[in-house]
Amino acid sequence: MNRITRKYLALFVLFGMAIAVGGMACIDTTNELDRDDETDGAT
Amino acid sequence: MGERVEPWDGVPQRWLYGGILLLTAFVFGSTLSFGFVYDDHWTLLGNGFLRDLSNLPMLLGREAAVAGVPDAFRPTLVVFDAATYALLGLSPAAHHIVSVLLHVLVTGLVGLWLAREGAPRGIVVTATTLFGVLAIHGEAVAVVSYREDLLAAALGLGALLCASASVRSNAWPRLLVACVLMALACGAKLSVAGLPLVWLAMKALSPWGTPVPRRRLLAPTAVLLVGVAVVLAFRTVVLDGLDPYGASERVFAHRIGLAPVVAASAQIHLGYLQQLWLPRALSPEYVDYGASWTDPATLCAVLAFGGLLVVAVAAARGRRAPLVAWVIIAGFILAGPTSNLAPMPNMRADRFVYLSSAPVCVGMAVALLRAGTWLHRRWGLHPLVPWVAMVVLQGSVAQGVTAAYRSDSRLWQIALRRAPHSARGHAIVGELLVGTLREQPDPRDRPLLLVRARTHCAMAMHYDPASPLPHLCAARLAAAERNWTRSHASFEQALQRMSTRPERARLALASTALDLPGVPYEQRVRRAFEALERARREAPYVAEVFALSGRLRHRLGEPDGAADDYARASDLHPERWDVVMAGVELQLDLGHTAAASQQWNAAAAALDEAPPGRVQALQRRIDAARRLQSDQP
Repeated sequence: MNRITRKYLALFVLFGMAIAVGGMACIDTTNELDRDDETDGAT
Repeated sequence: MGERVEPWDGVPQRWLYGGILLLTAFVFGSTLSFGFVYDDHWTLLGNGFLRDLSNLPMLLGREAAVAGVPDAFRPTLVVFDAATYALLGLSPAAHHIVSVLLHVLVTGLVGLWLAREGAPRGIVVTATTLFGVLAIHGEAVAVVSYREDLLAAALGLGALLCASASVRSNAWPRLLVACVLMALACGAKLSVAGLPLVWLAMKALSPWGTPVPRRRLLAPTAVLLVGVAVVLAFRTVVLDGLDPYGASERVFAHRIGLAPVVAASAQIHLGYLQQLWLPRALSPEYVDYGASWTDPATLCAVLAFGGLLVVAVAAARGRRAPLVAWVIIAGFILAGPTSNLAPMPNMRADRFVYLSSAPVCVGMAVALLRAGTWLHRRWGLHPLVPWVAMVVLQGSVAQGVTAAYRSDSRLWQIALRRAPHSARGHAIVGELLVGTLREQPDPRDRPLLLVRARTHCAMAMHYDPASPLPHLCAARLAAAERNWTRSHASFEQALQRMSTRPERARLALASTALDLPGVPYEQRVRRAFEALERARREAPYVAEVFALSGRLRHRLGEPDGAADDYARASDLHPERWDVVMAGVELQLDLGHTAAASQQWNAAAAALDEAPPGRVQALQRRIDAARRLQSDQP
């Protein structure tokens, strides 16, 4: 694997990391919805 | 000044696609821990037709459709489902791996086809990456039974690749493969029927090369169209018409007419376009509705799409901007089958945009690269910044969107948040709560669960009393409250409104008929068995029909019939532990301890999923029966 290929794959690794962080923020919103439902249920 | 070097320049082909495909798998990898949801329950789990590969030839005639086999009008899909069941059983993780791999395959084929059509590397990489991580694909990838869209797209794109290869060498074997693949693709889902025209538009406009002489396009176009025609003929001749939904009330156009539905569909498609670019308000559920052609939203949509058509014609004339023309024309062609002009049981769903998003991704990639060049000139930003931002945005939202499909309860709670007026959403949440009532061990939670279930069933009835689902919800709620008369009446109401899978109501009617107060015993038994017989005729491949028939015969003292029914239910759905346990209990009731032990040992794998308390209780019963037998002189 040459330097150009490594650089190209590094771009996709960075994509993966950024998406994982961004995805956690989006999934947290979904979990928040679940917690809201539990609260509704308890009241 | 030297020409700018892009990250993909000089990268070997295998790594070029390897990076994109690994990222695609990563974005949707979280689905591997998800369960079966939505239509998976009746198309895969409860579909006994898939359990025996020798049933498959029935798909070539009317037999499977008459027997109520789910998706019998999509033979490729049913064969694929049967093959994956034979290989993987009912492991949710394995089926989710298949869905992710299919999406990775489709993403790779999109890139490969663009490359074969002469697209520059930059467009191949940027467009394919966008297609791989697009958030609107969340539903199609995360729900196992919606792999019909992925399978059809993979087979259809394979057909286009063969057709393109045949233009270069004009080899008949390639043409034949293209024809077969196209027919198989349409056999998985007919919404890919526009692909031959998309291919022809690509060749005619040739956005990245010199146009091919028309005579060389004739044979490939003809074979692709023959592939589509074969499936249309199959549906017309074998299934008695192109429309599998008939006069069903599930099709909203049958309730309010085609014009308001198509007007609403124009708004919906503008919504799809917005969601492709800016992935917000994606939902597992949308409420069907009609709209007026004079609504401002309809007028905006008509103007937007009319404007796009004008741009396409202007761009195509004299091949001024052939890529722009192809993107718009291909998008229109592929959106055609889901435009609600043909009857559809749901007017809108994220999965409907799966294939039509491919040309949009090409347009998006070109636009983002152009925007990047402009930003670079203006502010010195790296030209790939807009594309990178879009990939991260789409991928992040895709991960968030797919999380909604982890389980049925989560899915429908989120569906109601997004579509609070959905009768289906309220009815299903109501039924899920009734299901919890049956399993809820703490009696202190019962009143609250009852109130929540009643509220959801009442709201479902308020929003759509013509649908069978609110009546099913009310009936199951009444059954949970042990009000058999009300439950029976509500199941009858549901049955009157059902156009598909009527066995759901018939089985419940059989069950509740036996407990109806004020009706003579003989009449209750007769009504129960009449409903059961109809259910057996209408749904001979549904395990629940035979499981319930077995339970009723067991209860009424018909052991031979009950044993046969339990055996048939186990054949149709070997993973059902409740049927195995019922069969063992029947043998114990008959005093056949050896037979009970034999059945118990043979079905050890299915019992792994059963509640431990019930398994232990039955094990104790078997042990007691053995002791009793050994104590006898």
